[in-house]
Amino acid sequence: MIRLLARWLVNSIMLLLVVSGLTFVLVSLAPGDAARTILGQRGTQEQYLALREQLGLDQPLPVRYWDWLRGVLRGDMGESMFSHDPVSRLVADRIGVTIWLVVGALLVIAVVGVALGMASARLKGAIGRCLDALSMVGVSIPNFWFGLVLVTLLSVKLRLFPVTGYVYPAESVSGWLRSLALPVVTLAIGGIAVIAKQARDAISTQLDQEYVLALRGQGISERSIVYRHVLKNAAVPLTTVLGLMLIGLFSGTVLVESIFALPGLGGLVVGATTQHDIPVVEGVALVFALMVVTTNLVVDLLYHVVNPRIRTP
Amino acid sequence: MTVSEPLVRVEELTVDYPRGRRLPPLRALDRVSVTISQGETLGLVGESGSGKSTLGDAILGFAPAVAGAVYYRGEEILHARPKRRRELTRQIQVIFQNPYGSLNPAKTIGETLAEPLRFHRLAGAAAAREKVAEWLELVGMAPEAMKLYPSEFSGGQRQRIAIARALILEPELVVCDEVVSALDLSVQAQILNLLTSLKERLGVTYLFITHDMAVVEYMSDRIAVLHRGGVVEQGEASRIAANPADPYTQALIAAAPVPDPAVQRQRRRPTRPEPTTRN
Amino acid sequence: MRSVRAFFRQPVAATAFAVAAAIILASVFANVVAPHDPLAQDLRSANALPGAEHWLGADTLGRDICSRLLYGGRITLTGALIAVAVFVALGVPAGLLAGYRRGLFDLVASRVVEVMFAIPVMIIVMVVVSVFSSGVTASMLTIGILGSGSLFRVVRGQTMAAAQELYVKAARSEGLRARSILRRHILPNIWGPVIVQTTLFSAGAILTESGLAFLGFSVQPPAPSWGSMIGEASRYISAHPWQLIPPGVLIGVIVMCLGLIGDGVRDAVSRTDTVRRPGRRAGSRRRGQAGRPAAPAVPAAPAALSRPGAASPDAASRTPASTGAGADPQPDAILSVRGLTVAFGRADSQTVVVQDVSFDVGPGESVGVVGESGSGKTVVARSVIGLLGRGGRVISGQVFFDGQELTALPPAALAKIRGRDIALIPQEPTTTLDPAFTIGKQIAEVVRRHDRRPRAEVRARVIELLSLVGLAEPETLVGRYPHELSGGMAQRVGIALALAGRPRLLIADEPTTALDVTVQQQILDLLRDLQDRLGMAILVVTHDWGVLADLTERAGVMYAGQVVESAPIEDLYHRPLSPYTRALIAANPHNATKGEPLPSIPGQVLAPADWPIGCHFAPRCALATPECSAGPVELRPAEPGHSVRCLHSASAVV
Repeated sequence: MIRLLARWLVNSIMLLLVVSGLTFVLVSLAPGDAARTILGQRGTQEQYLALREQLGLDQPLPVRYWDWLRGVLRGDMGESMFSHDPVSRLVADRIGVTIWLVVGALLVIAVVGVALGMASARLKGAIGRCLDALSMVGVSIPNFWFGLVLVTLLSVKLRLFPVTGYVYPAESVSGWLRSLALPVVTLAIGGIAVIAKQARDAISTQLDQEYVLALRGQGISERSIVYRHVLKNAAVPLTTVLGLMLIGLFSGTVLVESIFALPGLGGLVVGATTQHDIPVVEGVALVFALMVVTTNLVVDLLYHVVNPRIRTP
Repeated sequence: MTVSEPLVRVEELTVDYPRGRRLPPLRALDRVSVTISQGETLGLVGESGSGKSTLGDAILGFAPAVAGAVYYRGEEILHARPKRRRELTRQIQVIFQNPYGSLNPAKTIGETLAEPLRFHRLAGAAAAREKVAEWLELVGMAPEAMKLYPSEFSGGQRQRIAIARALILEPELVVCDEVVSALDLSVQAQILNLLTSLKERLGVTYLFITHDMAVVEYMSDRIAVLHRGGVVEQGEASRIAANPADPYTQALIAAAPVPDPAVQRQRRRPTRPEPTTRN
Repeated sequence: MRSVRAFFRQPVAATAFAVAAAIILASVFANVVAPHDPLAQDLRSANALPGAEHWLGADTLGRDICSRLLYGGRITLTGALIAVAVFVALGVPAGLLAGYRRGLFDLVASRVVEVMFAIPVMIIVMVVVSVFSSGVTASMLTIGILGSGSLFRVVRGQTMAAAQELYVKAARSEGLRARSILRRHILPNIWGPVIVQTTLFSAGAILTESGLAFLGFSVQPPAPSWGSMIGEASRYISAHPWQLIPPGVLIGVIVMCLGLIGDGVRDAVSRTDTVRRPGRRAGSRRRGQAGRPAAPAVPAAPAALSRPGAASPDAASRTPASTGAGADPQPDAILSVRGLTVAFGRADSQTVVVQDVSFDVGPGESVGVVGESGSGKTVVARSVIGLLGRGGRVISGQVFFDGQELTALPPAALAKIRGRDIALIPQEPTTTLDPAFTIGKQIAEVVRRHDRRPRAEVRARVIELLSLVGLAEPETLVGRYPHELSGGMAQRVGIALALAGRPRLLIADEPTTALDVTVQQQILDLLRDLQDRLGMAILVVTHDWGVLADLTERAGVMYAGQVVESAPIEDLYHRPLSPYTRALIAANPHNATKGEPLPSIPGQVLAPADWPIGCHFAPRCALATPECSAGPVELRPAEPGHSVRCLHSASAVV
């Protein structure tokens, strides 16, 4: 356990440094700098130099990185170049939406994906092939397009869900659920297909193991074999895949939040990217890295629970 | 080479397999000394973990030796330079246990068998083909087999091909690592007979590694018994089989049930053994 | 190349390849193929639906959607190509180096990749786009770099696995240099997985590029790309939903084609590379020419007749059950098997693997089934308790347990018998236990299944069972996981599990094959001891005549799906009547005279599909005559308690 936490800590610090360092280096490589961007074409050379000094841009890169890092550790991630809002407040206002979206999608993926995979593994023949074909379609269609099709059909034509926008749970829980339903499904669609396939393979593999034969030979009921023994063993590889998928879901929020105009981090970063609002982009990148680090810890702990083989080396 | 110098002399060989940073290395062989004379078959017998395969690997240059020496015709080869090691492969060859893994599935039998000839520049394309055909016949296969892939053959047939590959360079020493363990009794007899007839024909020396006491007794002139990385006993095969001196060898021979029911009934230990914790 | 042919022989994969190639070529030659200028506005046909003028309709500015898709493909596919090029250029060399050389480079590279996996790609792409606003190149380079970790892992893993292969070890012992080994033995085995990964990644790259273009981070309007066309269409979804369809479907189709190509390559490679066990199609067909010439005994029987299962399942199974006991179960037997015939495969193309097997096991008796691989002995053992697995079924014959016909029971009723009346000890002790549960939990579940009792009593019974099989310190053992046990301990736990329901018959399928000889001895002793104490019957399936001699009183010898001889083991060993039994005993090195060749059986066991209609052993038998192949040979009693399936058994006794 100690070893696991230590390893996680080392990996996390590495990841945070890599993401923030990479961001910083990339920004410094940009043609033109923030001072030029803020002043635009009008500023004089004196104004430009003064602003550079004021922003600390005349310092060498490592020094600037260190200053930024120190700020981050104090909770200060700088401010937006345009609205001048502190990045930390922009992030704090929006992180909830993104977390709900990702957690919702993950739950849907895990439940629906594993159920489909189980069905496909146990029902061979036509139903299994049908599920395989569906899963193939599921991974292939672009999820943002699928989201738009859902909006067209369910929101615009049938008016079952709001077209866009977000209702905070404090306002109305049912409204909140309705506003999240389509974004969650859109974000989850590819993942469901991937997990269904992985779960099918994992469950089929487990069903072919000798211990399943032995359990049957001992008279254990088929229900216990499938839902107790097989599922627990299949959970070992699935946990790893779900962990990696979670990182992909964070990426996915960028598109999904834009389609549904959700006030989350993904939407924030798209807007900031369009405006080249670099402090905001940097801040959001760091927060995404932090979320990844946290989920990695959860996944590691979960893996520890489902796989006794790593508990006792 | 002096008259008294054996073909292979292993002296005080110690092999450690690293097991990562957190565990101490695994000592697979601990100061093992054996000799193999030219033309004989030395049987190496032991259970899993005894180090018998590691000894074969060490002679082939595959094992991480930490101490000791291996002499081939008086020349120390454990620390031979890579170039010399490659030359030695003409003299020292190997046949493995698993006939399914030892042939590259992506290459035809002809390509696999010609590879050593081409590599050592012993034959051009045409001559190599001729030689491969000749060897396939020698091991009891039709020459047409060279156009086929390993997946088209049974375990016994693959083992014949593996034997042809090892012997096509006409080496002096062949390490036979559990070559019949994966085979059925009737096919095992075919392969053992093939090995014996090739030995008579070519005068090759075998290091015959197995866990099966009956097989090793039948095949070997001398036997070395390994247990937990050390040689517990070595000597004439018939003497060891009939009259083992070491308690472990005695236990090993007593443990293997014999096929004759009347004899086996005599050998059975009284039932109700005392509890064991670890095997 | 075999694999290339194997790929195009798959209709789905070949179609996917053709469709993807057509889309790519049409985009490359868009200037030739496209019916309209992609930028030409024609307000008269604004928002037109598909028709003769605009095959896929026109957008809000009246631009032809089909032409825009073709030109747009250039942007999207170029972007994907950039990402894929980086992906391969980084992943393959780094993976090869790390996998083959290992050492420091591997350590560092693997850690770097581990971190790369944790980076949310889209976010870094956002950073890149916000910094370098120009076009798709920078973002697709980033995607290629960040994605290459997955290819690195695959190549590294494959290289490491290939480097462990015996044929690579053999190549090293042939004296090949590292460079030649990489080129000749390792690379040919990794290109399949590399292509699979690359097609999957290119599908992902197309999706990502479209997503970025949808958000407006790609080409500037009015130039089209697939993603930006979806973006434009999304503004008019309530009025003109059609415009959403063509670009989305096109992306879906090409991505799906790439996925199917990847699957096709994987199947083609595994089909050509996987090891076919003896007795599969090609092996048995070519055996006649390539292998040692089989005895030329099989007369020209019509092909259909030589495949009893395929042509006429009944012909094979109609042979009367012929132990002399007739079709009725022996009254005092606990287990009676009568004329058991088992087939695998679909009903229209089934293969019979066990034919007309009959035997009895008395209460408390030990009976053996001995045979080589492919003889069907394990299938017999499993069909007794209805555990044949997928595709296997009893097509005729009966199994009686204690007078009850098991073969007539519904699966649920049979499941009740298993564990309680008949229990199974499978072959491989370490894989027989569920790795995810402790020993205690596994045994407790079986105990509870067979008699419901309070918790404390279940625990006491678990401890009792563990002590019964000679395991010391059962109290600590209950908390252990299977991977913490040695093979011998695991097999003892396996036996404890089998004993939990107090069965009257124990079926032991090669119970000691996976064990070292000294551990085997302990397990054999334990089984005999348990039988003395508990009085249950044992059916032992084995290839080892020593195990047979140690454990059993009577045994049947199986060859190619049939019992060829059955007798008390003393008779079987000392006075075998079947030429096969005789040859098999003679081939045993225990009986060999040093310096003399071992008597061996020429040829090999035929695959079930190739079994002759007559005596199955005839093609390899020294005594075979034309009558042997003329028709089915029956198992007949030769003397009391001793049956044989041979026309020449009289001349076999020497």
